[in-house]
Amino acid sequence: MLFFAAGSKAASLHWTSERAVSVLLLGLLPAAYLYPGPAMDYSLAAALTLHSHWGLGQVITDYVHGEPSIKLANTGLYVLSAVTFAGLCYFNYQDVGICKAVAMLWSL
Amino acid sequence: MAASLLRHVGQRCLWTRLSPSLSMRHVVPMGTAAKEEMAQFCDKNTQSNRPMSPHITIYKWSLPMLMSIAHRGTGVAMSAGVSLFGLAALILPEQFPYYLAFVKSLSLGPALIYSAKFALAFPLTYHTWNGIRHLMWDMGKGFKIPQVYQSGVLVLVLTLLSSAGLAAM
Repeated sequence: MLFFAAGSKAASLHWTSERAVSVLLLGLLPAAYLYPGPAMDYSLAAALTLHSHWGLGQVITDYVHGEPSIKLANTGLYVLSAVTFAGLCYFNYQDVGICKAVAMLWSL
Repeated sequence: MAASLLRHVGQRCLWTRLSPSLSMRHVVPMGTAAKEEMAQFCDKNTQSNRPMSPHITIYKWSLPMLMSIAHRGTGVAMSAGVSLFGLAALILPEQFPYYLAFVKSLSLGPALIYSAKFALAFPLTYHTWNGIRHLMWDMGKGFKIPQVYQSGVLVLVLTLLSSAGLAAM
């Protein structure tokens, strides 16, 4: 996804960050069920967007070949992630919020 | 397992370019000669115009392989779902309760609602349980082939049970 200079610690840091966000998200799911509210809504918006962004970045790394295509795909991914995060935050601010939305959906 | 590993390594010379700091942490940073050699290798592969791995169809399907692809599949599908949800929040004129009331007004049967909830819960529970399995691997645990199968079956059982439970909520 990102091109790191050989010998830099950035790739290793990135790998560790991916795991940290995964574990965070793992904890957020039951936490959001137990303590729903704006703090959980925005934490979920951020963690879901970041986890998706990095996950899709891995997909691009694996399947997209050629320098121009990789650049295009990564730019597209950044736009998608930005719009997704904006949309989720807008939903949390203007609408019922993620936790409430899931609860309402599940009450059907 | 070995085949998919090989495939993964063979598929991406890019990967070697990305992660030297992961695999060779204690090695002196690569000089230009090694980098050039790798670039040459990648160029040669591109120029040879051979069919690109993975040749999915030549492998005999195994549970770990299927589960690996399903992990990525569920991840991409849920990412798409979250993005569509965010986009819908920005674009659609009405708020969430309005659309929910519309679904309610359809008075769908309980079987259909249960199925829909199961379909929503399934990718989430699968990706979550299998994600824990991945985190265990990341800690270096459970790499023996029988363990890979055992943890795989455990993930599938937990996925079915928790999806059924969540759908019933």
